[in-house]
Amino acid sequence: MTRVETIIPANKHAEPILSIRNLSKVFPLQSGFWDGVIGRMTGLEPKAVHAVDNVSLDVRAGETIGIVGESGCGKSTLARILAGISQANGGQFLYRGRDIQDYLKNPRDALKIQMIFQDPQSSLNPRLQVIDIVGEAPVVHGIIPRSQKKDYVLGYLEKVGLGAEFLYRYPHQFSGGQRQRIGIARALAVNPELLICDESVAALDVSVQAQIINLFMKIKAEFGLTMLFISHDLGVIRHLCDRVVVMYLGRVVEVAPTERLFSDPRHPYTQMLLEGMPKISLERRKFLSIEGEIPSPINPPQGCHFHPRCAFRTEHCSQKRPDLVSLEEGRHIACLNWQGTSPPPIKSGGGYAQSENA
Amino acid sequence: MNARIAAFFREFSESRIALVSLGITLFFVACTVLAPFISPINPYDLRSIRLSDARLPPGTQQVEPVPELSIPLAARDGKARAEGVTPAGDPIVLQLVPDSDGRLALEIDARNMVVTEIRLRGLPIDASVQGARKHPIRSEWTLANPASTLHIETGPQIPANLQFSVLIKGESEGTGMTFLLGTDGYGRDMLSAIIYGIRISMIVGAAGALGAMAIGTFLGLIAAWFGGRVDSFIMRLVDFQLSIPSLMVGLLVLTMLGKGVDRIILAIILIQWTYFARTTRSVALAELRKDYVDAARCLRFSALRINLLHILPNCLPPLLVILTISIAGAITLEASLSFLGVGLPLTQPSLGMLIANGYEYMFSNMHWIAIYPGLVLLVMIVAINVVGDRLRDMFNPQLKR
Ligand SMILES: Nc1ncnc2c1ncn2[C@@H]1O[C@H](COP(=O)(O)OP(=O)(O)OP(=O)(O)O)[C@@H](O)[C@H]1O
Ligand SMILES: [Mg+2]
Repeated sequence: MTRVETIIPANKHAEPILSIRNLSKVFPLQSGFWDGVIGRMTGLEPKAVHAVDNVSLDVRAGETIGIVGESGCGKSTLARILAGISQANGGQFLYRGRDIQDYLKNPRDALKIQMIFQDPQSSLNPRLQVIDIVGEAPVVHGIIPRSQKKDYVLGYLEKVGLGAEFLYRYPHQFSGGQRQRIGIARALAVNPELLICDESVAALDVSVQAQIINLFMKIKAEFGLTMLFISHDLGVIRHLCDRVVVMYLGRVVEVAPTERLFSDPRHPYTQMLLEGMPKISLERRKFLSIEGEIPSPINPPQGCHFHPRCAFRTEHCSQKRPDLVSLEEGRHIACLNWQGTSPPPIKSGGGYAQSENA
Repeated sequence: MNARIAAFFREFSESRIALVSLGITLFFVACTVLAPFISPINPYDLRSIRLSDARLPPGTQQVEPVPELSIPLAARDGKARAEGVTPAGDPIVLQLVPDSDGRLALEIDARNMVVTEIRLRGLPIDASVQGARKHPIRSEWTLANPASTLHIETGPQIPANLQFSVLIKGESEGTGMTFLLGTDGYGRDMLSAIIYGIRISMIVGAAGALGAMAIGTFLGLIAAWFGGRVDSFIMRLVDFQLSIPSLMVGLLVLTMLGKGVDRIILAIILIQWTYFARTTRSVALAELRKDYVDAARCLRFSALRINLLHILPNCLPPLLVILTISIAGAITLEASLSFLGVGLPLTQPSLGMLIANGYEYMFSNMHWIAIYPGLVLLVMIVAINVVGDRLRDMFNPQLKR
């Protein structure tokens, strides 16, 4: 059981705009008829991927949250649930204090949550012109009358740094960076409050990445957006985010304000991630890779998922699932060695380093 | 967009045979649209069809059946006079007088009319006409090369009362129409019948395939979008139907519902929707994985809008390939069903029906009735299929250099 009451936003006074508790998403792997029959006869638990496993998080208005983790740890799954395009199997998801399913019933409300995708190529419908890609939703949802579509779209194109000459072009006539700008304009055009960016710069060239990141910072300030920024790239996260959530195999292992996380990572997994990080992060795209095999999400290790790769594991680690507990103001960690009987890892990660040498 | 179409066409024409096939296909499409204007006669108009023209070989000229003038004569003591009017409106005067040799001379004054045959009907048994041939049984004398004066011998004595009629045939006139491909067993011009047959085959094929596309695509999109049980149900239905031979389904439907253009279209839809449903489902599943669909969801469009305006247009290229091949398949199917006699009504012959009609004359040396529609059907199906194959090759990225 996660101790939900411990997830306190850094600023206690602000109401969270988005609040999730014990959110889970399970993808069944055997869904055929005979699998079901065999499963019932043998009494075995059907195989499934726990893509998101009891995740709790509060996001305050105006905040930029980063989510990091290795490939397959459930970042995209979480992002899709938060964007309302996929449904969780369990847990609670409140947006502005209302249950998300209730909130999504009114499309005008639901537009407040928008998403920017990883692959700018496939995130634009190849058969639509830019004016329709950006302008369709505002017209369909009655934000603007059809007659104003062109001017409206033009306004948003200018905000993302594109000119009027692009209005009637098709996506294949653009570069990756331009396409991503169109995707951003499309999201902005419906006046969102919360923007979820799933690896939104990962597919771009490094120089273009920097431009798009600057664009994100600009629009965030201009539109007062709350942002959830998912990335492999710790440099990007450090540059953009106020708080960082570290995920491992569907679970949150550490939450901390960005500077605290980078200067003083506490969870052994976070420490491993940061060690693998290049020093000047924006110059070279670096995908996370750390030693040890990433365990299969279908059959994750018992107890703490990370224990087979952890230098500080104790026998508890393979038995008991660590809860996410508050470490200090705005910081949470899920590690048995921190909360349990064994002595806590000492400040600034030095303790870990020592034990590693020993 | 125009540049895209031009590039597409250029790529298409890299295959010569495909280009030729496209031309042939377009020619058939033109026949379909223009049939009433290019066809020599309207074969559906039963009044324009004469049984007398039946089974004429290709190249025969049509002739107007010649009207026969019948003028009764009633003679007293071998003398009579009668008048008639030629088809052109000129007067004809017949005069019967006894001549010096004891015969009766019949003078025919038919100005402006070429008389090709004269028959005298109803003469007494013992009478005879000079230079004429008698009907073996009836009292009817025929003069093939009539002169202006005939001589009738009535035996030793001229009967006091003599009654007979004179039948005058004029020159037979060509109508100016040539049966280029001959005529069928009902006297229909084969060329016109084939042009209208192309029309009906194309319409039935295209309507059937388009209907199948509409329904199949709709069900395929539903299967892909909802997944799970809906998907399984629709796909099992497809599997079930594909396990039954299509001709069997067609025969079943048509024997139950009866003949008719609408019913055969229905049968084709019932048979062909499965191909569209399958293809649409698989392509739509691939499209559903793309981010633009998630983006559309995130923009909170309705499922209908996402499917019809976002997913469907991206599924169209492979569907067009299937459509082309399905049209050829539908035409074949209709021809087979019509050949088997459950397809179209006799008054609206399709190519298949023409072949069936001609089949009974095949061994009486009247090959043209079946062979020409057969050739046209063959060329049509091959051409449409080649076009479809070319389109498929072009949409198949694995074959791209
Ligand atoms: N539709 C699905 N059906 C079954 N399993 C899925 C599905 N989507 C995701 N998964 C599984 O859920 C897990 C999490 O996937 P997810 O895409 O969220 O990872 P991620 O953190 O975004 O990875 P990446 O960094 O590579 O994008 C993976 O093991 C994946 O195989
Ligand atoms: Mg992902």
